[in-house]
Amino acid sequence: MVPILQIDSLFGGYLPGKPVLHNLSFAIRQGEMLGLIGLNGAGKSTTIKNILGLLRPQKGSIQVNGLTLAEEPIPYRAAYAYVPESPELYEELTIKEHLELTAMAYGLSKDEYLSRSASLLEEFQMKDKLNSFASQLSKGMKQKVMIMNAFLIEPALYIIDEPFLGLDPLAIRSLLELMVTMKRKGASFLISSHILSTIEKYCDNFVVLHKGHMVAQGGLGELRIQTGLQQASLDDIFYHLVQDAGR
Amino acid sequence: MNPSQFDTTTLWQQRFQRYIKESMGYWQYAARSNFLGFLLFLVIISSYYYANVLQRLPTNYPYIWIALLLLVPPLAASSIRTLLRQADRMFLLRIEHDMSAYFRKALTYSFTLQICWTLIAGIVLWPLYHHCTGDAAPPVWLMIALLLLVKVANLLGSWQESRFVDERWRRGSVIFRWLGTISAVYLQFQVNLLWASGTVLLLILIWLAMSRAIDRFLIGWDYLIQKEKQQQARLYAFFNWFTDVPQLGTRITRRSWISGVTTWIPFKQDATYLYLYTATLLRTELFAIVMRVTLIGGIAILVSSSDPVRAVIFGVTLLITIFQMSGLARAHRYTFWLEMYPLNVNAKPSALAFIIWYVLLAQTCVLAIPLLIRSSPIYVLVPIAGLAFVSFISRIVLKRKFQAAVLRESQ
Repeated sequence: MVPILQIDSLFGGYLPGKPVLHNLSFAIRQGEMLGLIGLNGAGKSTTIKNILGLLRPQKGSIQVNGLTLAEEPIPYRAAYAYVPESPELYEELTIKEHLELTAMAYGLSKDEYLSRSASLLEEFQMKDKLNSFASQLSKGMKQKVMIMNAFLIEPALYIIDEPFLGLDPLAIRSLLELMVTMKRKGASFLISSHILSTIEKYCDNFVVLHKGHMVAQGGLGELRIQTGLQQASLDDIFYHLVQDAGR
Repeated sequence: MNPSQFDTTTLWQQRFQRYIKESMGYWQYAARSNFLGFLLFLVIISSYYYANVLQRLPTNYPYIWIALLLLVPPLAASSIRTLLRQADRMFLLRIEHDMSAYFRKALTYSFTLQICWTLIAGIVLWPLYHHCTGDAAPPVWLMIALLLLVKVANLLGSWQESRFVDERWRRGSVIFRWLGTISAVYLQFQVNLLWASGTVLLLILIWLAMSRAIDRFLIGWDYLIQKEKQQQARLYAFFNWFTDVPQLGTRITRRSWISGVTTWIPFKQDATYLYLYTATLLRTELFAIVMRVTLIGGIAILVSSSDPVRAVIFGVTLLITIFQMSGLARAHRYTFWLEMYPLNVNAKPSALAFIIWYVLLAQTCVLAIPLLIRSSPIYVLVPIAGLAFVSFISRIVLKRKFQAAVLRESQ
């Protein structure tokens, strides 16, 4: 079976000849949750931008569902939903209109839109904010809108950049529950986060980036073997890896 | 740096210089657009009419209404330009005890500016007042002294209001100041100066007594910053008549009476761009501009005296609207969501062209009404030609232009 996301020897960055990412290769299979971890500036956002097509790979290839962006842009884009690190909303639209626009853009039927948005609004306690504008919402609420937009589409792949910051405890719980539900239905996740204790519990595999290089990859067990730290938490393993690579 | 040594006078001076420099830049645009010439023209014309009217006006004319209208707003409206910024709430908070020099400068600046407005209003009023009261008028300097007192009291009151913790007290104080100013001006012009000054002093004492128990911040940062933003935005909105002011940002208005039309758009993937740009048009300033242009064009057609002139106004109104509406394509240029959607980017030019065409179609129909009321039947050809013209421009010329832009962006 074709992996939902396949990255092969990716070099990428902002300036030609000066790649930020060096030879990145990993894959996410159907129903798999992968945690992308690294320090600030390690290349997590650059990786995500390359997948989204906001940056073009300098070398190597990225395939979503076996398709590249250049060859099949529309099915490529339809396959994933993205939750950005800092919420970006249209100033001109109300929350309801954001959801409607997303539903239209991803070709949902009106019935699908209505039933899914109703349960998401309930879950994230945003019903009374339906007619608010972005400027009237707190950062956490904006983040909820981004999350609702992503889960409304029910795509094959979710790309989520630092999802927990700014969310209240109830919303974090709702988000994690939704992630588990969608995962059971066969969706895959790429999650970039610094909250290692949380993603340790939820992710199947991890990719550890350091200064644009992949310093480790695999499940928690494999990372323990790689580092020789039995019983260690992801936090300890990460610290060990980054310290090692720093030397 | 030792916080207590931080010189807030220098900070004010730096900010004030930057503020003046920026404003001057925009005033140059205003001057270049002949605005000042127009203003001068307006002053000359209106003083001519003013002198004319005065000659015919009976001396028992109830001028008090005009006095109130002219003098109360500049006296009572006493917002303080503090030149504060959002970050000040963080960075200046720890030296808020030592900020008095800064705010004294701010108050002085606002006082100077507002007293100028009051004096201008007074100068405008003076001939009328003199005409109605003749030699019975009290000495000018005494009248000015009282106006100064009212202005200072209002400004200091406004400063204290900014420190009130409870918004309701603030609102109450604003109402008190306005009513007090109205009575002061009324007594000054309708009774006599003694009564007026006595009342002003009494009102000041009442205000002081009542406000003693009110909870206050040392400095009302949030309120002052919000006020400062509002005032700067108003200034930018004024400069925006003459040139593009980037700091202005987009102003969003809900317009529930019309924004519901987006529900008529079919819930289909093809209609995504149509949905987004229709909502954008209805909520932004562009919509207000088109409405104003249509209204002014319609009135101009209705009142102008000859058929050809009406036809020309019709055409010019359409042209202005085409020019304004083509700006819709600039919305969401930097929104990356549009790059995320699994949509054919070529649908965007068509959607934009359709919206522009639709708006122009509606405008043509609206403008046809006054034109056909006033002109001979043969002029029905004007809206028909207009329709053909706007269809050609929006569906072909503009659409091609937007397509070229999409092509450029995707490379």
